[in-house]
Amino acid sequence: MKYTTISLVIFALFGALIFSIELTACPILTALSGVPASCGFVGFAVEPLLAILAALITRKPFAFAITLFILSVLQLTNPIILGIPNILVLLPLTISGLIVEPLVRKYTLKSAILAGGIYLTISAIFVSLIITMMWFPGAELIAKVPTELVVAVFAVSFIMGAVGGLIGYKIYKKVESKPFVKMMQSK
Amino acid sequence: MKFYEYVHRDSFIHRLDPRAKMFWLVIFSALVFMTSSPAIVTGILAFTLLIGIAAKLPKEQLWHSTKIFIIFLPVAYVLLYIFLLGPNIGAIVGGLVFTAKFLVLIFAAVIFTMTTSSRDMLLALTKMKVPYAFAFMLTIAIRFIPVITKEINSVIDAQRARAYEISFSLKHPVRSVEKFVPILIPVLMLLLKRSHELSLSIDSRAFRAKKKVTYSRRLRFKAGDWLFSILVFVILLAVIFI
Repeated sequence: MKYTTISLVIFALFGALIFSIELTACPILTALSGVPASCGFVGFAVEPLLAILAALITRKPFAFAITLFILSVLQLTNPIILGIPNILVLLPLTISGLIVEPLVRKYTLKSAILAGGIYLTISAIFVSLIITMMWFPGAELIAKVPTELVVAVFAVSFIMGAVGGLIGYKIYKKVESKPFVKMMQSK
Repeated sequence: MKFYEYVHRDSFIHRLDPRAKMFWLVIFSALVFMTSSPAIVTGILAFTLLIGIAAKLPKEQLWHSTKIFIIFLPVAYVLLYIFLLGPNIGAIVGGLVFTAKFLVLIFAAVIFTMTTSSRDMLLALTKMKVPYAFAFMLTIAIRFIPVITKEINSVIDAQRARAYEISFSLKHPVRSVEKFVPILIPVLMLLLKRSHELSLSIDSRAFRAKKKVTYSRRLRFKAGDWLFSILVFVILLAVIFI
């Protein structure tokens, strides 16, 4: 599959946009909320939203996964506090992006919500796995954590991703009638 | 926070082929998973810092990029270990070893970024048979980050001038995300227009008209690159067999 120049530019710009929002919003949100983990919240809120939007606008195969891959390469060069540093960041973003890809490609509201939710849930599982692999203190306790709590954590991830998918779809509906969006989809 | 701060210096590390540096980055990132021995982790961290020194990077800039981690991580992880394992020497050492592992990952990424220009990184990627389209997307993404950041700040200022309140609460995450939509849509429209114009200008310059892409500069794996890669490989073997 050969991608058009505009599709390549859109993937790059959306990857860069997510990264820029994380860079801009992280210090602001951390200062406003006083919680260092707000940085992770920014990523959780913005990644499914904008990656789904990129897929909806371009309507090209693997748009979701490519956008997230570009983002992961950008994040590799900038260790954001409390994010996964270095090459490890490539794994959760790219693999969960690829897993969700078939769902994103349906381009409906339901699929956008589901894709966002599943993407973040898989990302959360990956992050837990990486923490366990790094022999994080208490990683062995993960096995002893009550199932209800594990389900609750993944449910929160799913809900946040689903909200991201929903907002992404709503934003798409606002811009889909714009002439250049239609032109992009026609190519 | 800043992005991709390449610092030009005449050093051995700067002159290294980006592929050799990528090899180092991958191996050292893997090493922190392979051991929890305080001596080995300290050794890996020391070697990483030695590379930083050999790169002749400005100390102030290096400190500026990493100070938040150097100050925050030891305190956070030692406290976490004490909380999990109780107040004893083992908990303190455990917390410090885990901090050292994280610092290896962070220092390695920062040193790699500061010593490798985006152009060299892209050349290395294409040499490593990464599809040209990907290298192209990455170039655009890197070049556009300052532009996008500027646009976001301009839109935030414009909305604030219209008395739009930007607030954030962890108690109401959905409402908090929705508060950013009036910022996101104008930014998005600006960027979509920009992408369209950019793609037109790229196409008008006969982008992908020929299958074979040529570059004005070529990368070559020299003796120094081999030596550096072998040294990294020897460290990997030493950690595996110790």
